[in-house]
Amino acid sequence: METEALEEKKETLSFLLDENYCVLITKNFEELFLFWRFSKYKISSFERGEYSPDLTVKIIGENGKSIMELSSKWDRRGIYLKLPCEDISCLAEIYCKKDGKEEKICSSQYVKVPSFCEEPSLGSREYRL
Amino acid sequence: MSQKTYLILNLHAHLPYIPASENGVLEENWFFEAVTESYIPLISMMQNLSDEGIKPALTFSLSPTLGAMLENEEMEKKLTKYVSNRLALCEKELETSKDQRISSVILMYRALYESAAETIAKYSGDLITPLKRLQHNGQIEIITTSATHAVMPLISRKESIRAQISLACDDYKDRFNRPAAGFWLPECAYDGRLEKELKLSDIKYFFLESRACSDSFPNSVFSAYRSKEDLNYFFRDSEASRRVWSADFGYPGNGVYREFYKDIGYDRDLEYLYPYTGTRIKSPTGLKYYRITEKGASLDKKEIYDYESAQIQAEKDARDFLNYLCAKSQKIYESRGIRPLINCCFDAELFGHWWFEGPEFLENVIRIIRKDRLPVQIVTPCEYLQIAGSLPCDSSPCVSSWGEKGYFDPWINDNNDFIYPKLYEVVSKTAKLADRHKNQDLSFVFKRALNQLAREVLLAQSSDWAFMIYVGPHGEYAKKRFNYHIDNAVNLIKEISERNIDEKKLLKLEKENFIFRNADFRIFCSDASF
Repeated sequence: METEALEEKKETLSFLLDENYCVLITKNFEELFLFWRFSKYKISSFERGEYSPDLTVKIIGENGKSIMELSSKWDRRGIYLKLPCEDISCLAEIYCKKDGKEEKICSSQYVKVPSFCEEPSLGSREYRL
Repeated sequence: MSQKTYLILNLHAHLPYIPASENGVLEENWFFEAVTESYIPLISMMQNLSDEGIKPALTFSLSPTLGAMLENEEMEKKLTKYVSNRLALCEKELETSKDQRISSVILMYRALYESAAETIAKYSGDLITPLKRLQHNGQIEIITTSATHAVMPLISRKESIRAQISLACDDYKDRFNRPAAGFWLPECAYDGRLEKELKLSDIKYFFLESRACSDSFPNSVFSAYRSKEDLNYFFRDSEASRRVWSADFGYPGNGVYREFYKDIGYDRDLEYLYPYTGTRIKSPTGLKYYRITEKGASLDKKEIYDYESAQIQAEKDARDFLNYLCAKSQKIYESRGIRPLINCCFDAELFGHWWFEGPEFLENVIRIIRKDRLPVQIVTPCEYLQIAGSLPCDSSPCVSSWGEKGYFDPWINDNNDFIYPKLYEVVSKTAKLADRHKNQDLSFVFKRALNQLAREVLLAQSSDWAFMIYVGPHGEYAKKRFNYHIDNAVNLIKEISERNIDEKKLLKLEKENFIFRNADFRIFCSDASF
């Protein structure tokens, strides 16, 4: 009975174990916010120097083509990305390097980036508690 | 073709939820001020018009968090005490006032608080009742908004969006005994993902900021439209709304109107105020005796408020607004061949709280239309949809909001972006727990823990925290509130995962944050078809 309870507890905990993921959020027509979290295993691999500390972040359009690429330190955990274009759908992919070889860690969901619009909006901030 | 201009006047009422554990704090005063200065005057205004046979036809968006507080017995008792204290403060101020003009202003406040006390007593503190009655009698239309006023385009996981929308709709049905037809997107924040979830919750229409309207829309913002998901939507006419709402050139900035920032709470001795405010911290009391005087005038240069002059100006501004609407409507007719729909949306708290004369302005707008037989008809969205018949449907709205710069900058920037990784993590774990336990035969305590987890996650998602951090003055408070709900969620996740629920702690949390009494954790399931 005890072994069964322990097994059930382990099983319950195991599914909540951390995993690698990244999330893209639209800020405005030219800027996205990307954050990521790595699993404990991945983090300790970085800390042991198994991977280069520099990540490559790739922004990929709906057609599969690369829109931009930039580098970020793995432990930064979040960055703002200034896009070279607007009115697109895109996702982010995060890569690390081990022994010179690129390895994909995770990719985000697709987000819709709006197009630029001249008219300023006046709503929030005018009068607020 | 109708000769009338259709006008929607949409007031969005929202306040963040106040945990029961917090006594005499910032948010409670916000609630009391909003109720006595905005909601009660607006309700009274609508009731008076209705009693005279003049249909207000206003659209009123009521957030679930505000609805919960308006129905909360504990908050009702505190509100009654607040009003009673303000009346006592008015009497004390009258005793000490040496200026007849100030005394007149104090008497005005006394009448305001007496009216509030009367309204609270009449409905035994439940201000949902008069709103329900007005809607039931066809005088206004009440719509809902997301469960805790989350800015949904910033929510990555669909389970969360579904939870925010479906729970709000269930909450509305529970409160108003009918399904919600309309949905106010918090901050008018829109992206295309939301429509599917709105449709699943049987919503018939929603609102968008004018920025969401591109050149592809045949009638610009002057019509409603039908979306690809078969929902109706309305664009806010930001130009028309700006005349009322702009701090720079809107009506509320007129020199005769009451000055918001010069409050006796900052001028009087703290010990003098303490019996009436219960605090020894400088904070607003609601008693403000001065008028704006002129733009940019420092607080010490403000002149004494004259209520009669302000009332005259409120009527003038109402006429000006209606003249503007009629002229605009005529221009649109000449250029586009349509009689437009003009959709004006505001925060409800603008009327009465921020702009003291706001309720009078609104009342004048409604009365003048009737009295002068203007070619303007105030309609609710449902009424407009019945009149309009088939709507154009070939275009798609743009991702947008009514926030500063028109996108999502106020809610995601260097000051507040720490929120999103924390939220994503708790939502992911909550969704996993929901999936795992959805079909299990759960103990009562275990189920309560899961349901309370759902509440804490929703409360953490409120857009108020990010916004308050962004604007600054109450940023520390907002950070504290956000972290409080996140910590509650994290602790519950741990206890649920370990199947070791601290029942005493759970009960305490349930009492503090008991909102959405029928909340079921399974709304966070990856496939919420339970």
